[in-house]
Amino acid sequence: MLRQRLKGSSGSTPLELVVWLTLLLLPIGPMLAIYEQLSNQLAAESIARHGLRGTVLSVSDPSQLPSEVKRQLAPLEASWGKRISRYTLSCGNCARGNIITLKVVIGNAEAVQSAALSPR
Amino acid sequence: MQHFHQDDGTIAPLVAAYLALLVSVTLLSSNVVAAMAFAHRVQGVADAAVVYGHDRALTAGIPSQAPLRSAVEVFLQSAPSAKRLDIVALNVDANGPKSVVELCAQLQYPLTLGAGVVCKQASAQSFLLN
Repeated sequence: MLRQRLKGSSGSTPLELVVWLTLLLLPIGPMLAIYEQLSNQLAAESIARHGLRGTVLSVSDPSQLPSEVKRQLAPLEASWGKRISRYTLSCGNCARGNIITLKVVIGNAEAVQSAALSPR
Repeated sequence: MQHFHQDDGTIAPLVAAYLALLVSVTLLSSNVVAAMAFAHRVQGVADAAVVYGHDRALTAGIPSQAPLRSAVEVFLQSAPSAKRLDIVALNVDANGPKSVVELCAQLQYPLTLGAGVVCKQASAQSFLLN
């Protein structure tokens, strides 16, 4: 039965073409959305990791942390060609040796990285 | 050659095959990109853990194995980034002046069933600057 239908020549080729073309083109929207989300996730993870690492290595006084993070994130954001929606830096009382956490959000993607300030 | 001149049949199998190929490529490439993003996360945690442990296990510039392991474990238990990982293996080694941490974490693929394991290594060493 299926074999016969597959071999049959009845029906309209333009109609079939439109139906199948629609089916082929439909996944493109969701695909692009998935790629956008994954690209944002990749950028957020990389920016959070390198931004925090740069901050920890550059800062000698914990009070400089907020301004240093901002300074570190700007070139990373530009090199990825992405816009950071928001970022937060938390470090408790920001004393030497404390663990600091940087959260970077790009679109719907969120990345979190933590590192410790030098105890000395 | 006669087949090229026949006008019977349908393009449905061809389109179905294209569609299946498209979906498979999408799923596969999504998994690859997700694994790349996850690898960044694991590498970041390994980097921070080894620096944290090395800083706290040094005696005259040489890290000791037991304090290094203990400090790395403290970091992995308390750092928010590490808590988000499903760590399946941890190897900590003080090798001469160098501290080495190898970390393996489980990755759940976002669009397909199944999981993978991503392993990353980080090392740290102290230098005396004159």
